[in-house]
Amino acid sequence: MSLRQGGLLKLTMVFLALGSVLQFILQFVASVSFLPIKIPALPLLTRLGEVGIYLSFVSIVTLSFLIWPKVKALLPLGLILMISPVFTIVPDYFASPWWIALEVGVVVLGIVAIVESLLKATPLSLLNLPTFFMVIILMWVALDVDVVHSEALLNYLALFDASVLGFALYTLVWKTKGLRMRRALASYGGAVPALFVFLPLYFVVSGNRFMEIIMNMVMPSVFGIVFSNPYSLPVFVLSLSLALYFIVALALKGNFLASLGYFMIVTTTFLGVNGYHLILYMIYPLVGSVLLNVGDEGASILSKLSKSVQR
Amino acid sequence: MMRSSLSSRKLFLIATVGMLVAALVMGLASVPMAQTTPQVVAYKITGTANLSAPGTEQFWSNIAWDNISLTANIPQAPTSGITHYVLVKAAWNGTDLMILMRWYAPSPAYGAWSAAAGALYPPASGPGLFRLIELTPGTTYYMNTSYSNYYAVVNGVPKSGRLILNYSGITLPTPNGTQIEVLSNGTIILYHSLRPMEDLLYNNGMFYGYYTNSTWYYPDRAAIMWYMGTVIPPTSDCMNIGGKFPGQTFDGFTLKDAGGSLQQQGGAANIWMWVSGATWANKTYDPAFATNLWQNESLTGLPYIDPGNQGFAVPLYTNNTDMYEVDTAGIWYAPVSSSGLNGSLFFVKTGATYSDGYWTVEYVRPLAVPQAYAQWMPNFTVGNTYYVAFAVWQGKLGETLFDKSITSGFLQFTLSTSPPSQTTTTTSTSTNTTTTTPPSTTTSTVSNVTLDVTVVGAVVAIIALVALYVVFRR
Repeated sequence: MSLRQGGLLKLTMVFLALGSVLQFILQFVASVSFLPIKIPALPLLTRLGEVGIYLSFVSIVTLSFLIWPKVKALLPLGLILMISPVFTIVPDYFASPWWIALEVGVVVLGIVAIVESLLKATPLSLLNLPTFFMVIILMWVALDVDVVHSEALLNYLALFDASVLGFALYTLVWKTKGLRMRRALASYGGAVPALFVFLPLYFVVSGNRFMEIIMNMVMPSVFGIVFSNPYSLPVFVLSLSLALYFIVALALKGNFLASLGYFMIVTTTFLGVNGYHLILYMIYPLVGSVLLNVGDEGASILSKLSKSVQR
Repeated sequence: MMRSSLSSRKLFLIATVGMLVAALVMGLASVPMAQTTPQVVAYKITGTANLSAPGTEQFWSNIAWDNISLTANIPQAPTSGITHYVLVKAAWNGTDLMILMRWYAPSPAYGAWSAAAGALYPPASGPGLFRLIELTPGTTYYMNTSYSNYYAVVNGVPKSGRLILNYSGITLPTPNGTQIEVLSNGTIILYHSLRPMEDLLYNNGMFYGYYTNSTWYYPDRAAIMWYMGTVIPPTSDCMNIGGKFPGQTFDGFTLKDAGGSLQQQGGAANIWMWVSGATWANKTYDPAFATNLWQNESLTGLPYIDPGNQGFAVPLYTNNTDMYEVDTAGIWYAPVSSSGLNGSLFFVKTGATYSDGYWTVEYVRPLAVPQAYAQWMPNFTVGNTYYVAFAVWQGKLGETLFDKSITSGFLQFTLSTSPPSQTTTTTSTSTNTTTTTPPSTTTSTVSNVTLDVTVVGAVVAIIALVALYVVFRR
């Protein structure tokens, strides 16, 4: 079965997309709810966000079972996630040293899954290397916090900017030949509204010192990112706007898997700064990275490598 | 063919309904999702705290430091976020919880009063008795003489009219009697700053930090915040900047929030605040202990006597409404209750030392709190996850009140029934006491067990992958 085919896979992706958006809404709403602004239908949004978390959980487990023949490391990852709620009935389970072993296992499996999916992806996926680097670095940061109890202070914004740049190039280059010009232009045009989800915030924080101070607290609270330079907020908002724009543009161009994967990465990877708090959040950017790699069809890096070796 | 299409359609339907039902059932039943390892763990130990020599007890040597990054509470203020990390250890012995904090502070704020404690003692003198605020560079002022009943003091000279501050076209009229000093480079220093004034300056982009010099500075502080709210997990450990109480009207402005109230919606927290100029129990460098303030009931209004000359941490309680002192006196903040809290001010005991460029502060508190305190202080029991945040102030470098270094969010905390394992590496520090030498370096330690399980986790994952690839290589 091709990954782009199969009704069940499509259904799972739809649920995963829905769950990811809803859980991101929860992340956002929970963080801005203390501000002196009225959020319409706050209780409803909170409840929907909670449902989104569980929908994401079910979707990721299902997805890992569906695409494990292509990315084998996803199978144990999905199994761990599936049984993880069972551990919560064991008192003090999270304080056991064996829980550290499980977390390390998740990270190892996740990294192998990224490498495996990258090798089986087209060479175009190499443009997303900065993203994979960012995800793996954040995994290390999370383990550093959870296992060694030491927080790393890195320039996370530089990692993010490099990742956005790579993803933007990936979006622009993807199917430059196979796609009609009209479809491509429609995709870039249709994605413009996505640019304006966060872009107004850029103008607000650039010109309003008070809002800059407030958003300097809100954005790290939503995304988990910590700025090494407090004046970096406008750059982060700008990068975020571009990331969302290219996510939607890529989805409209037809690569829904990769666009969903990148959305999953952007919304959760920096939660690693505080140790992710949930196993689900730890697995989220790993699965997102895999989706980023399986979204394209064509000769894989591995086959090209083996051909060049044969020559 | 038709049957196959029908069965695949059925499968599709079952999968759709199955996934939705599973998600909804899990959501409605609030099935707990597995969390990651807590970031701070208190280990079960045998022994008791020695607050006269904090950190030297034998049991601490078996526990690794948690290295916790701190960030600026006010990102734009150069005086905020001076302490980049704090080292933390935690232990419990069956009756008491002990938390050890250690942080690099090149210039300890000896002899500076905590302003609230100093206000109780009429002969109090020296640094810290009131706050000086440095306004954002570029801020200017002018006198609006149409306010004939107003006056201001500029560089010690009284001037009639209302003093108006101006920053980038934003103007802020100041209260009657405002006192400023304009330095030779144009920097404006505001004297005797009141809490509502700080809120107004901050919200108008004019708060640049607290001003210090060699003779005027603020006490050092360290605080531990225990989340007690109903919204789990909490997403923010930030507090509101505001007035003395919610809705306070100050000089024509209405301040929505009370300063110190918790931003996290539905949140509440207990805070243990150690202050070098009030709770240190050092007769030489802590002016409150030097003047036996805490033994003086007529000044403190507290119906208890000498707590045994031990240091303590002020217990505070914050929620969305206000910041309170878990006490009946209300020395720092409004009292949380008017009666029934005897002894609460000294309930969290501390010991502190400064050496080799580092502050070391040990907090000790019974795991269980008396019934009368339970509404404002958490009980600690095995098997529960708590959320904790840390903050540090370096008063000589301008940090005080809301200008501080804090953890970027709450960390998970739990009591472990296991004893600490032996550490494989030890903390290395250089021994310098002057500010001109490079800062000491400290390395985090890794226990043998942690190392073992890390290796086991990686090895098991690799074995599982190899088995998977071998069995399903086609």
